[in-house]
Amino acid sequence: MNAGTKAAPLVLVVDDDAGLRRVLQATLEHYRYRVLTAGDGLEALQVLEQKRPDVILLDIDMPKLDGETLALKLRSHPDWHAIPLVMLTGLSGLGDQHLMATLGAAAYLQKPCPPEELVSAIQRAVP
Amino acid sequence: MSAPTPLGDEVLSRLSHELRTPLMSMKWGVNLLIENALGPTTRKQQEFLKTMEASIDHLTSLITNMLDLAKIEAGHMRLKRQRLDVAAVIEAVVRTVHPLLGYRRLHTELAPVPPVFGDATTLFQVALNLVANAIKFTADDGCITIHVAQRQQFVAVAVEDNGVGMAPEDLPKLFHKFTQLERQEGHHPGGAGLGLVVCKELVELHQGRIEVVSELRRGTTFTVLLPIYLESVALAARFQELMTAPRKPQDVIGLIAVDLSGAWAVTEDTTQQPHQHQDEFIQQIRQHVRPRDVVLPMTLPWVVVMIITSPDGPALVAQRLRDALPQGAQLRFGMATHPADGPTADALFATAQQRVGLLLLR
Repeated sequence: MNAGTKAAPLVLVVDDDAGLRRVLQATLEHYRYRVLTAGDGLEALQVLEQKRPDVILLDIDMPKLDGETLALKLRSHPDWHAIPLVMLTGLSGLGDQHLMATLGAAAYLQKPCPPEELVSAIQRAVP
Repeated sequence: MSAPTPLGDEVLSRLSHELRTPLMSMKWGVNLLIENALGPTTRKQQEFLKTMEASIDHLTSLITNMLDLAKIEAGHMRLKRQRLDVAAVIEAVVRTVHPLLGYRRLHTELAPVPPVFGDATTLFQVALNLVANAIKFTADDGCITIHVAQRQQFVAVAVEDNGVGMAPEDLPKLFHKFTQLERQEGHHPGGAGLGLVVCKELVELHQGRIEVVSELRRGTTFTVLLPIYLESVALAARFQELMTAPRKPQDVIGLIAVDLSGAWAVTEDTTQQPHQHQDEFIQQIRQHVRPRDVVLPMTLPWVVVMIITSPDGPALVAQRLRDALPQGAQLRFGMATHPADGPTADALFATAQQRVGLLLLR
């Protein structure tokens, strides 16, 4: 559990699978996080115009605007470049680590990781 | 009839995504219910949820094996081989399987052996698969022993059980896809016969091999033979990986030879062997290079770092290491690049060693 007296960190979950978004939201709320959701990169940008999350949980393979492109946009944005990214993907393999280094992601997790692993990655990423 | 075309890397990656995303929804959804996060559940419901969780884990393992096999067969599996202590891998496997043992006994007999040239993640997967298999086919009061010993130029890891064993006519079929399911149908739950096929392929990617001896109702021993670490082989193999990795036209392969002898004096610790110092340096260096960069121990006092980079990249990396490492000021660096300084890793290393101390770092 994310104990403490200050406001719970706000996590923006970006994933195109509606079922997984719902489960991720319920799990993170169970761990006392506040959660925003977006179904793709474009929706995520709209959410970011309204609220600033403490960390973004980002799927890679999404329609309209994929996670890698969104991450690159965020990295070059004056207001959003410092928001930590935790990449979560079902894509297999090659170049994953390289991608993480290129995008400056705080963590790179492969689906289906255990909930504790994701929560621990978010805890480490939130300043 | 033509052979089936192997799936492309792009297709495999997409397939992986399409299969893993719903698996994650299922696993996490069931986990929420088990944790009573969505309201209280009854004991009976908990029993069913635990069964579902085990089935999801089994499905995940099956899909992982299938995708691994497809990746190997398509030639897309890339190993990250290092000088590796097999005992550490076995100890990690023992910790992982502990909850699965029930009343079975698990012993380890680890003779001192030289390091192997192996990919830690992959060899953990192989050893875990063999030990989990032994547990599955051994009675609740049975016994499993993991032996590690040197056999000529190999390190042999043997997983021995006193379980159900196999008939001699079954052994040749053991490493064929899906044959295990037929053999065990009606006798044992689980297992699609892919785990051992993946193990064999992964071990052969290490230039090793798997042997099996078994006797029906007496038990089975699987032995994995892995080549001992040889620095010339490791240097050439890791260089070749970088040669075949994607890179920009202007990029070079940079080799940085790091001479640790100066730092040795300031960290003199009589309780540690020199190679332990070297291992510590390597861990520190890894924290300051990219995950895909190569860091290899060579004959003391040398360590090699190999990277794909722009032509001035090696000097920048050396500078970064000197600034970031606690003993940085005592380290000496020499650099060489491919193609300018030679066609092989051996040639680059020799040139880089000759240039140690010539480059003035800030």
